[in-house]
Amino acid sequence: MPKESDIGELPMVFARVSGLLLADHVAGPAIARIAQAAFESIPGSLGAGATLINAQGRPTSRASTSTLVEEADRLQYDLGEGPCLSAWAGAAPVRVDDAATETRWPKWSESSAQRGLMSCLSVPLLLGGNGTGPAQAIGALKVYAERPNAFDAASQHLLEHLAAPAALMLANIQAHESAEQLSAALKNSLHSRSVIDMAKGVLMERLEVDERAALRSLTDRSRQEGAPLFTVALSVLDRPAEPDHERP
Amino acid sequence: MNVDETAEEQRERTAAEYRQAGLALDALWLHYFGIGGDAGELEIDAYLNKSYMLRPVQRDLLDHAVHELDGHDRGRH
Repeated sequence: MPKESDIGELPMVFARVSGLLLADHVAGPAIARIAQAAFESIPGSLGAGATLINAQGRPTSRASTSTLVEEADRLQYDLGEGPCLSAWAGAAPVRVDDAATETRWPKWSESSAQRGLMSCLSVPLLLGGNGTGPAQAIGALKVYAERPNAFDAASQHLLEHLAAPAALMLANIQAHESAEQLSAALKNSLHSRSVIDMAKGVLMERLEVDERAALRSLTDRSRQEGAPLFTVALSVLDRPAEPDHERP
Repeated sequence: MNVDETAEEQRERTAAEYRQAGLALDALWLHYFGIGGDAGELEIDAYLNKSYMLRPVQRDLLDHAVHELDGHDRGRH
């Protein structure tokens, strides 16, 4: 049983351990799912990639939505420089607006520009940044675009919004779970989370209440109606129930 | 859910329902995560064992996750 005084270190220790134990054949499909979600949700992106990085800065698992992205990504780890490694090392988002004029990573920028990838946005997959100690980066999530200045603060917000639950999921899943289970659980959870999150936002605005009160309104209805929170959230958003949706 | 209960009271009530329902911790964490929970499984474990305190929204989410898994909406999905 952990004591209150040392609990702050536990999530990080756990993340480090699970990051190393998670075999590529298990983590692979899950991060492929995350990359695909990033590609679909960031306007203007040509492709996306997700990478788990170990404490030595080596990628342990990676996934990309296109071979071009995979090349640009691999290049970073071969050269030992690039926006995704910086996002991981600094545990902070990194944006490249124009690879042709980028000076922070000269070798990577030149190669990226040669491939026609002019914009890149990379955010770290972060763990433990919720008051339990300093956040630790376990990888990076990134999108690329052909034209310069393709990404802005809004794209960054979207990508971070996707990266936070993805990192939490990757750090908490058990190493013995199969790739299919993990991938399906991740897909369902991310979908369900975003629906509930949106419904909460709608209620906060509609009822002019704080986050907790909006959530209470949802959970109260869920209990009264004997319906899952997810179903209640869907109805708040005025969407039909999704019969084929598997519950998380 | 009682609006006036203290954080400790809520933790005690959620932990009691969790023990009574005989839920597996990993299944509970996954469900809690799926409805929007942000804490890790270790933090949830520590909370249920009264050695850690979650923030209010996280406490409510975990309480609701236990409630849903405890068969209160069985057969709906």
